[in-house]
Amino acid sequence: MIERSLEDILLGLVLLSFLTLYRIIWGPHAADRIVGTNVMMTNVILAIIILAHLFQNYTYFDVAFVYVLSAFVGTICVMKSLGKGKLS
Amino acid sequence: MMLVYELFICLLLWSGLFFLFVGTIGLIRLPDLYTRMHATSKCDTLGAGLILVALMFLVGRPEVFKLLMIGVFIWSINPLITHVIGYMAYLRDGEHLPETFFIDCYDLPYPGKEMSGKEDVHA
Repeated sequence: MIERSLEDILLGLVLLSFLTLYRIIWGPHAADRIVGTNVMMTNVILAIIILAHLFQNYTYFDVAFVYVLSAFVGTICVMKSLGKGKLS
Repeated sequence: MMLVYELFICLLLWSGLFFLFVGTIGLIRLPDLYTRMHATSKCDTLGAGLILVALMFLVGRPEVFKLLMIGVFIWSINPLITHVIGYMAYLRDGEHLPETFFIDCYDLPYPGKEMSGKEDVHA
């Protein structure tokens, strides 16, 4: 029951990422796109972790951890360059 | 007893997906940047936390600490990113809906600050 549930949750996360793509493509301003990218980042991290448990290969947890850190640094850099006009 | 355990884990998983779904609906349907952030930040953090807790019950001993590390980073980074986005959108002149009531807490006077407004923050 848990395996079937995990597969359905994985499908749901992919569909929610496609729903988020609406706000990323047609967002009126740049900050809306950043918010949508942030939501998609969380969905992708959860999908990586669930896939790691389904494959029984827990090396992918490190991939998810590096993805969290890189997405955080990327978002901070984009917001800083939008707000101040330069990265420093 | 095993059935109760599996039902508990499935309840955690599906409630996490439900909260993620509510956050995405708020992201699509709400009219304003600040209301969209209000919807996504809380629902996203809660849904990711519920799914991570459900997976912490499933994996073995040393992998729990990796999941706990990822969870702590998500729960600390997500509100931080939301605050940075809100502050930068405020610096880039608003983008809130006209004729809505809001309280401008960045423009309030406090000791050591002149009431000069946004140009002071830009420099």
